[in-house]
Amino acid sequence: MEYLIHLAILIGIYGILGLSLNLVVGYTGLLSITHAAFYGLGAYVTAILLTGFGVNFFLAMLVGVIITAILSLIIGAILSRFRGDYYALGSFGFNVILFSIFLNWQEVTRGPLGIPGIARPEIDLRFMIQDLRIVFSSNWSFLILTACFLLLCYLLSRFIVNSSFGRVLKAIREDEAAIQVFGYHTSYYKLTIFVIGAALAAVAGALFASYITFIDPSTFTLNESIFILAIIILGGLASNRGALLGAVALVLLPEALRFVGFPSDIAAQMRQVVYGLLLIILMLYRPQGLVGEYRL
Amino acid sequence: MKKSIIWIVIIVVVIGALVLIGQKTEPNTETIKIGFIGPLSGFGAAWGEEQKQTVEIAVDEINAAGGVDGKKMEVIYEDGKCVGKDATTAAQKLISIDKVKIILTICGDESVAVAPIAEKNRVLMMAMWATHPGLTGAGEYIFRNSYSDVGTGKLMAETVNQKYQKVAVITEISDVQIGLRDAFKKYSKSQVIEENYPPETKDFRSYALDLISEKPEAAILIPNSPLGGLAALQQLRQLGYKGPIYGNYFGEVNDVLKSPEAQGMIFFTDPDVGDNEIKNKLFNNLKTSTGNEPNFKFAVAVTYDSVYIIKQAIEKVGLDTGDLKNYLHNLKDFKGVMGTYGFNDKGDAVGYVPAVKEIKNGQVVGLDIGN
Repeated sequence: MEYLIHLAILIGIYGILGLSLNLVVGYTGLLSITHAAFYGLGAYVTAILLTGFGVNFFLAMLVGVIITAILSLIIGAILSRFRGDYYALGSFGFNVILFSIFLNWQEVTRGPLGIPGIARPEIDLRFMIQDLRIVFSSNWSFLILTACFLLLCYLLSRFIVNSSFGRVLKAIREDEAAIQVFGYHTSYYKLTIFVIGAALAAVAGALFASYITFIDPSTFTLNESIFILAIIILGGLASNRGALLGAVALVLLPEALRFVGFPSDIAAQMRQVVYGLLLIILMLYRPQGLVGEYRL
Repeated sequence: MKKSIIWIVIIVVVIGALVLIGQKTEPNTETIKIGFIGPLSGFGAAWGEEQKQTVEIAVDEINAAGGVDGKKMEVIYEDGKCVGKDATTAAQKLISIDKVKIILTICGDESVAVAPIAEKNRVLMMAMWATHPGLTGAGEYIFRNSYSDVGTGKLMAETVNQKYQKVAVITEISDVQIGLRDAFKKYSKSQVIEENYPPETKDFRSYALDLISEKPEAAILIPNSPLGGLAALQQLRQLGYKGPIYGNYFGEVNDVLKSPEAQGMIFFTDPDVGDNEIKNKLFNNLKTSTGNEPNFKFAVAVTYDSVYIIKQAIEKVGLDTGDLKNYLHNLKDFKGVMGTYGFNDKGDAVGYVPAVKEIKNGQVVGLDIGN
C-alpha cells in the first residue's frame, strides 16, 4: 500500500508540473524546456529554508514560489524576444544555467552532495488551540496534502483557460500576429502565463523536496524538463485532464514494467527499452496525445 | 465512438498497471527476501552490475550450503540508477510489495535518499561502497560497509599538514569528489587554494595557470574521471609546475601509472583488499562467471562481505530487524574478504582505512601513512 501511496504522491507532483507546463506549452504554444529549473528552484529554496533556518514548510514554499516567480519574470522577459524553435533553444539555455547554479553554488546548495534531512510539512497552531499540531509525516497525510495542492492547481488552471485571458492565450498559440492586430500586447500575456507556470512548478518542487527529504541537482536536469514535456504531449496538449493523464501514465508505466517478470540480468535495460517503445508507438498512432486538442 | 475507444484503452491500461503493481505477494516464510538497489542501467552500471554479480555469487554459495537457518536467501534486484528519486521508488516497492526487511544499496545518492524510508519502516539498510558523508549516523537501521569520504579527506589533510603551508586543490564537481575536498579543507591546517571544474573538462590550462600563479607548495588532484585527472596532471607539469602532486583513486588507473608526469604522485584510494583465501575464491568465481578480473575490487569485496554479514547476523539473532541492528552495532570481529572488522555506533564500518600509495617507475607502491 505504501508503494501505491508513494506512486500517487509522485503522480500528484508530476500532475502539478504537467498542468503548469501545459499552460505555457499547450495553451499558449510556447515550447519551454526550462520547467525542471523552476521545479528545482522551488525545491532548493524550500530545502534551504527548512534545513538551514527551520522555517515552516508552507512559508518556505511561499518564499520559493515568490523567488521563482521573480526569476521567471526576468527569464520570461528575455525569452519573449524569441519565437518558435529559438524560444525552445533559449529556454533550454536557462535550464542549463539554473542547473549549473544548483551544482556549483556549493556554499548554498551543497552542490552534488545534495541537501539531506529535509523536514516534512507541519501546521503548528498551538498558539491558538492547545495541542493542534499537524505533521504530515506519514505518506497518507502527505498524499492528502499533495492532492489538495493538485486540486488547487487544477482549479486555477481551469479558471485561467476558461477566462478571457485564457482565450487570448489560445489565440496567441493559433496566430499571434492576428491577435496583435486587435490591439493585444501579446508579450504581456506570454510573460504572465510563463510566470504562473513557473510559480506552480515551484509548488511541485517544494512538495518533492519535503517528500523525498533529499534533493540534489541530478533531479533537475534537462532530462527532467523533457520528461515533463513528454507528460503533456502524451496526455494531450491544451488539456488539463490530458496533463493529469500523462502524469498517471508516465509514472505508472515504468513501475508496472517492474512486475512483468523480465530476467533480472536484463530487467533494468528491458524496462527502459519497452518504456521507450511504448512512447514511440503512442506518438505514431496518437500524435495529439491521449486527450489533446492541439499538436506542436 | 473513437473517443470512447481511447477512454476504454486508457482505463484498461491504468487498471492493468494498478493490478500489476498492486498484486499481493504472500510473504514466503520459506525464503529470506533481501532487496538490492543499485545502478543497473546508466553511468553507474559498470560497478552496479559487478556488485550485483557478486551478490548472486554469495547468495548461491549460501543457498548451496543449506541457506540461512535452513531457509534460502532470495534477492530482489531493483535499478536505482544512482538517482535519489528512482531509488526511493524502488525502496517503497521492495518494502511494501516484496516485504523485504533488509535492503542493500550502492551509490551515495541512492543510499542517502533511501535511508529515511528504511529507518522509518525499521528496515535494515546496508550501503556497500557508498562514501557519502551524509550516511554517517543516518539512522539506527542504517549501516555502511565502506569508508567515508570524511576519513579519506582527514587522512589526506594529516599527510599534507605535516609538510606544506600552502596547497592547491583541483576538484571535479561530483558528489564523492566534493565530499572528499570538503573533508580535506575541514582538517587542513595549510592554506588551501581551490579550483573546481565541471565533468567532461579536457582543457585544464586556465585552472593550472591560475594555481601556478599562487605558487602552491603542493597540488592535490581530485578527479572523478581518471582520464580527466591525467589530463589535469599532464597540463600542470607542461605549464611548469614542479612541486609534489597528490591525488585520489585515479592513480591506480593504468594510463596514469604509465604516464611520466605521474611518477612520484602519492594518492589516496580504496582500502587494500587483503590477499586471503576468501578473496581468492571470490575473484576466481567472478572470473569464471564474467571472464574478467573484477574492475572494482574493493566494491566487490565489501559487497560479498555484506551478504555474509547479514547471514551471520540472522543466524545469531533471527530476522527481527531491531535485534539485527543491535547485533550489527556491536559486531566487531566479522571475518571476510576485507579482514576482521565491524561497525561503530554510527553504522560505519570500522577495521579498514583508505590506502595511501605512490607511483614509482610505473608501479604502485603502498605507503605506511594510512595504516
